[in-house]
Order: sequence, then structure tokens, then C-alpha cells
Amino acid sequence: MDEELTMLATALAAPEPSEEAADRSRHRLQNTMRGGPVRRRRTGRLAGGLGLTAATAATAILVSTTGTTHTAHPNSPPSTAERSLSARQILLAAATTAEKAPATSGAYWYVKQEERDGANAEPTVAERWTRHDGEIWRRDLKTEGEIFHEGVLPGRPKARPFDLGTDFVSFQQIQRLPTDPDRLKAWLADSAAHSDMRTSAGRLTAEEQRLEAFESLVMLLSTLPAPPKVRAAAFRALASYPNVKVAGRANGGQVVRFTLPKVTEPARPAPSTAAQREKAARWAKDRAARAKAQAARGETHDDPPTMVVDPATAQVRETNFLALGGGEEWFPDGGGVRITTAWTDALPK
Amino acid sequence: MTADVGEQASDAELAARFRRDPELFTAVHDRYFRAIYLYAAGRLDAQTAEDIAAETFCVAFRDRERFDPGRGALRPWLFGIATNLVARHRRKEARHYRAIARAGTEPVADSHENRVVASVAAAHMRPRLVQALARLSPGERDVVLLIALGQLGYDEVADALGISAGTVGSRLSRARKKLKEAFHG
Repeated sequence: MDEELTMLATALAAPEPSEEAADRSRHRLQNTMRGGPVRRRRTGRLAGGLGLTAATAATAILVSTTGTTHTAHPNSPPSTAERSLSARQILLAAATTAEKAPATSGAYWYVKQEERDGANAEPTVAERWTRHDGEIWRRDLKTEGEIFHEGVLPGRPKARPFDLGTDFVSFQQIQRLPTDPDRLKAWLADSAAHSDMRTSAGRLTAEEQRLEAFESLVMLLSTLPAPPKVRAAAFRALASYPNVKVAGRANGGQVVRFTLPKVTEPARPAPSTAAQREKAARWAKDRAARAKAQAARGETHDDPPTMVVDPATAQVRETNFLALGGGEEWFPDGGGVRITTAWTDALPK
Repeated sequence: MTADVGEQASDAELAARFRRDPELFTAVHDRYFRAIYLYAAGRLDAQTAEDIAAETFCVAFRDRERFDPGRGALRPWLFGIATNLVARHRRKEARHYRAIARAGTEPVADSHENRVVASVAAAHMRPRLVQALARLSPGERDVVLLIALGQLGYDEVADALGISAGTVGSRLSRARKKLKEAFHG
């Protein structure tokens, strides 16, 4: 190298990466290796094939029945009218509202997340604007309050900026999703079947595909710019799951719990070679370490995905399960993210 | 070309291993994380650099089928991915250089200082040199920084960017001319 280049190297030289940075990076790679898309803060998949054994995967959806006005007494007893609504009726009501809503559009699809560590804590706000062509702008802690033109998210095709299940999808694909609940579920399960997602046992089983479809419905309703008929189909698809129950009130809504069928671990051949045994031992060790770390953080595998649905507007107001910008996030133990979505024609000044 | 034969062979071995068993890809991470991080951190802030370094290995893992050991080593392949990711932060990159130029002549990490025969005068010129980076074309900048920060050889730069060795040479000489102008006023 000549003098100029050496001097540049010196002027730009950065401090060595910390061990923590290397660990975080390795962890992210390992998540990618076993989960397809990047998954952060995820406490465990609903699909038991990847995670620890779960007898049942319980899923709770909080449904607000008070329209746009959230009651000031979140844990007050429900009114007679609310008590009489079944979970299925609540979801079907949201579907009807969604279907009647006018189709909206704009230049940018806007999603705002407000994350709170506790009920009265100041929220951490993250905002994202996605243009039809896949260009993304964001404003969050990392951008120090400025709107930052992210361009295209790393590692994904520009034209497909949205997460749906294990796949990236385009704005156009979302517009063309099936408007029939059964066909929508089948489409999502099929997408999971063809994804590059792998669990420790290999490709997704049929059961795991169905669970992926369930998670995809939650994502679709909470953060994607889906047209009214697709949203209605998604609410109806959720209402069609067996064993759906209202399980009390919380946070101004009613808890609707799904008890999904048990996922059996696919049979694996016993390791015969030394290399296979070593690999199996590594998996077991890694699983145990992850379980321990989760337990230390007070997270359990069974943290149920939670949504606050407002049937009067068919909007998902809050969830503890989110996929936005290349990562799925779980917010364990009652933590949740408020979500606001809207079309807008301009970026804020 | 500076990489020695031993390093090449073990890279190929590594590649053969993760082709048989994808889980062994973490070995690629452990070998190259530091180099990729330091390259990205020279061009962007630490947090973005960490993000890019981590994402480089995720992208590499997803594209591992496309890696052809016959066409080049792991190192330039990874630096190529990292360079593509850096390209998505052009404005931030320019801000980073401006900030360094403003910060004056103190090198960020003094351990590298002994690489330089640094006269006081030369140290004063460094901010101008850094600022001049912003005036290079993106292609010229990639070539210069893959050499200066990534310590890639010319052939490796060609592999990383998917361009011919001739193009590397012409971009480098144009870039050097601009840098010298900035340096000598």
C-alpha cells in the first residue's frame, strides 16, 4: 500500500469489536441457520419441532369490544353484552367491519410501534414507511430522531419488503392474497412448505406448516397493507380455529385463547456415525443453553401470542408478536407493542 | 495477491465442510467476523457496522449454494457481501467521514499508529484525505477501502466486486490521483 492508503487505514481504523458483538452476531447467524428469516427476541416457535416440548401451544388474542374508546378500568368486570359474545363472534364481527371498510391507499405504508416496558413507562417508538417499490424509511432510536432512508433491507429482494410467515412478499402479492378464509390458510401453509425454513429435524412437517399459517394470519392483520377482503378472510380464518375461547379481560379487551393441536416432534434416526452423534450433542447443548437463558430472562416457551383487536375498526391495536423489517419479535410476559398502521402520501418533514 | 497457500487450502476445506453440514457455517463466522467488522466499522458507525457484519454472515449462509470455491476464496466473497450492505448506507457513510475529518488528527485506534511513518505534517493532512473519500465515486471508494481497510489483494478485490482486475487497476489509479490531489492540496 502506498502512503495515502496507509494513512487512510490509520485515520479510519476502528476499535476491535467486543466479544459481546461477536456473540450477538454468531447468535443471529445461528438463528438464521435454523429459522430462515432473522428472528430476534423470539422465545420459541409455536411449532414444537424447533423449540422445547410444549404439550399445547396456547395462543391468546385480546379483543377489545369497546370500539375506539379503551375503558379506563381495564380489569373491571365485562358488561353483560360483552360477556355474551363468544370469541368466534368477536372475530367474525371484526371480519364484517374489515370487509365493509373502504379500500385505502397512499404513497407510503406507515407502521408505528410503541413498545413499553411497563404500563406507565415511556414508550420506545419505532416508525417505518414503505413505498410501493420496496424503498424503506425509518425513524427510531438508532436514527436519533431523524428520518433515515434505509433503502432496501439487507438480505432481501427490493420488491418484497414485507414479512409474511417465513417469506418476504411484495405489495402486489399482498393485494392478490385469497379472499376466502380456507384458501388463505392453504396459501399460507403452502408458502411455509416451500420456504427455506428448516427446524433441527429438517423441513417443516404438515403440522408445523399449519402453525406457520396461523402465525402468518396474525402478522397479516397486525402490520401488512392488506385489502379489506383479505383482512376479513384473515379474521374469519382465525375464527375457524378449533378450541377458541374468551378467557377473560385484560388491557381493555377480551382474551381469546386458541388451544392449538399438539405438535409432535418428528422421529429422527438415531445417530450412527461419530459426526452425527457430535452434531446431535451440539444441538442438545445449544437447546439447553437457550432454555436456560430464556428461563433467566423470565421467558417461557409458552408465552402466548397476544393481540388487541378492535372490532369497531377491525384494527389490531396491540400485539406481543410482531414481524417487521426482517425480524420476528416476541415480547414476553405481558409486554406488548401498540401498533398504528396507515397509508400516507408524504414523509413527515 | 497476499493470501498464502495454507490459508487458501483451509478456506476451501471450510467450504467443503459447510457444504456437507450447513451447521459448520459458524466456523466461517468465527474466522472472519473480526475482519468484516473492522472493515465495516472503518466506513460506518460502530452500531451500523455491527449490524452489517452480522448480516453479512446471514446473507452468506442463505447464499451458500452460490459460493463456488473454484472461483475464489471465502474472504473476498464475504467482503463483497459486506460491501453491498455498506452501499445501502451511502449518506450515513458520508456523514461518518465528515465526522472523522472534523474530529481532527487523532487516530481512533492508536495501535495502528505504528504502521505509519507519521510526521506531524502528514497527520494534519489526514482529515483532508478522509474528506476526499466522499468525493470518490462509489466504485472507486469500494476498491480503495477494500485494499486499505480490508487488506485485500487486487485479485481479491476483483473477486469481491465481481469486476475484472483491469477495472480494479483503473479505478485505483483514478482514486489515487484524486487522493493525492487532496493530500498535496
